[in-house]
Amino acid sequence: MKNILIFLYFVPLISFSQSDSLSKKESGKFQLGIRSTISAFSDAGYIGMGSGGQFRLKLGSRLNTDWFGDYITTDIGGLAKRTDYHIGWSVVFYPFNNQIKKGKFTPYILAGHCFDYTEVKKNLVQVGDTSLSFASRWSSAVQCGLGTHYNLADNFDISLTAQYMLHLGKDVNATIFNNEITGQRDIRIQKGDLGLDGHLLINLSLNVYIAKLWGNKKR
Amino acid sequence: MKKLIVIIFLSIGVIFAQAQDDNKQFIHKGILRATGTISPGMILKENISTISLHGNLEYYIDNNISMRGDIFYFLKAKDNKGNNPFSFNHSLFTGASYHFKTKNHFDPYFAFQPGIAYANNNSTTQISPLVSSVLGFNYYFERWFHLFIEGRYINGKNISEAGVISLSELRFSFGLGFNLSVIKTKN
Repeated sequence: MKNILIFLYFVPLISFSQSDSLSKKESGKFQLGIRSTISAFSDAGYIGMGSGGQFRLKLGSRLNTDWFGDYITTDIGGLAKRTDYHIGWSVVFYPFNNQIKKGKFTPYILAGHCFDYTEVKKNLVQVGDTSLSFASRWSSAVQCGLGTHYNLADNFDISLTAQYMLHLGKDVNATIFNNEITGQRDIRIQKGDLGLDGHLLINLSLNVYIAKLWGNKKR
Repeated sequence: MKKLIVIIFLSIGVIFAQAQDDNKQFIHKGILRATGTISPGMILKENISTISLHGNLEYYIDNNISMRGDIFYFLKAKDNKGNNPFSFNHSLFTGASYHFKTKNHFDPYFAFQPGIAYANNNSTTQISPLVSSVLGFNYYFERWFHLFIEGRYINGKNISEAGVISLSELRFSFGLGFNLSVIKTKN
């Protein structure tokens, strides 16, 4: 994880480019993509993995919007499963260059909003176990982060994004403990009051240019 | 987690520091901006963590000065024993920001805002005067949108028959903001 963070920190520096002379009007470009997600620092400290998709709609030469959905599952110590569903949007800004050209990096910053559904379910409920075995919640979130596209072709990019997402919703948490009766590890699922829950999302996505929805059809 | 947040914001700072492609300050007289976000906070002396919804409206009356109003709608407070010392603690601030001169879309600022708290400490409802200072930055995108991150220090006291509760609090807000230019500027 530490190595990933160090890499993410230096990607914008490596990809920094002063060449911004090609300020094309790219408004109206529509891209479709799929993505894999790592969710870190969430419930009980376990790392979740997810899949999802997104579409991007450009509003200007330096301004893009990213509309996404994610399905993320987390194995909580082999004792419970956490499932997160994310749907949201981010506004993406390219501060250095907006050149979509084969072999170029296009770094960006982003900020946006998200709506989420989370559920935590015990894998195995023992006979006589009356504790909570399932909890769920709806929440809303704000997020910001940074990333870069790497343009593998003029109409195809691979993108790496790291963003911090702060959720507001009823607290759902799972705590692993040693059960003194059974002598084994056990998990306690609790649903509490309103609370904040933050996590880091790292997305790797593949995106293909589909159409130009308005403006000049020539690319 | 704190280290992680520091790394993310440091990284964003690196980008902002280098994004000097325009060589011209983006902000100008006539910008109207608004935000809405979630704001975690910490009442320092009482060791109470808080959650509020934060809304903001700001207008740039000059290239480096803006007037702003902020509203915090209280959602929850909890001390380290799990007790909730307030039924509610809404607050309202108005004041001005000074925006430091830059040569790009990066907009660091300092704001001073007096305000009031409308709070109920589980017994009586009080209106208490507050004073606050804000340090933060906006990063304006091409148009319509910006990223903002800010920290606010609030000073005040909730005084009632039930006792005195410090309202001195640190609040933190970040997210996506919306902006438009009310006045057209000459290029």
